Amino acid sequence: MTLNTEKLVSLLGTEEAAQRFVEMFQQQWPEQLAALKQALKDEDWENASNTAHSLKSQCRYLGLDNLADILQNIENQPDSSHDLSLFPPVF
Amino acid sequence: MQILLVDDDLTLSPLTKEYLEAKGYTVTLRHSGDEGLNAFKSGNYDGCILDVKMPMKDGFSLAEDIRKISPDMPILFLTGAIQKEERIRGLALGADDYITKPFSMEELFLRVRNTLKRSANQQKQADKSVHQIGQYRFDVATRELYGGPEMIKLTAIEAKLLQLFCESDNGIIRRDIALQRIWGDEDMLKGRSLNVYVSKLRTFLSEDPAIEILNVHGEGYQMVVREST
Repeated sequence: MTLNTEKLVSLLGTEEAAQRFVEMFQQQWPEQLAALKQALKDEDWENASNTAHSLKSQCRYLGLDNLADILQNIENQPDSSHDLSLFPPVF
Repeated sequence: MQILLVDDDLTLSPLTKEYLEAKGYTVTLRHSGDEGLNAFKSGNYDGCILDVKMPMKDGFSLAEDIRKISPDMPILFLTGAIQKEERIRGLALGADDYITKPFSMEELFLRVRNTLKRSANQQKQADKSVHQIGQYRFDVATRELYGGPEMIKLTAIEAKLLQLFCESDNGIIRRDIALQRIWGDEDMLKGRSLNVYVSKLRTFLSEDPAIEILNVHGEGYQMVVREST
């Protein structure tokens, strides 16, 4: 899955800021995704909702709207079943 | 101008801080509601930008606490796709503006600038105001108190305290809030100073028996002006 930085540059104002956002996102994604999966497995719904909220916001900045929509569903209804197969382990 | 930014998004918030600093603001960044409240209590801010959804203490709860200390503090909320209930709750708390994520930094800057400008204009108006207190007339801008045998020029702290009484609901000011708004902290020694300044105001206003400044146990003080019969 490729990251669309064009939208990011327009939101953040500079290519340098966009690049830093991408680097931080790539660095934090595996850990946050693991935390989300663990919270869902542990049925820790509040933690799952909060983590999904955080990841959703970052995905929206990167134009990853499909992932953001799934994360929005997890945030709203963490105790429903969710298909996480679209989520890449790394970017 | 000093801005308090409270956002738990570790990726975005440092960039938001940098962008606003490049526009000339001084930005203090905190990542939780509790940290944000502590920063607010120890700082002197012109405005706050609060993320709505944060674990533990959310942006709305933080705004409620900030409003208790500083009722007119400009607050701009950062939010995801906002629900109607959330919008109403924010408006009830006196939200000055909302901005929805993902937002552009330019738009955020413009909203912050406009919000602070509106607030500064309102403050200028408030500073120009004149309050009638029984037989006395208090000019906020000049810190002059008329109505006694002679005009009294109040010190900055005396004037600030009297202004707090005049602008509070029912003339009641909470002790902790008065300390925050006058000195920026709740230090015990400042608490003693507050007692001294209240006594001075009682003396300044003593020509009119209809005016009283009462101790409200466990709360603070209340300035009462009885209707003349």
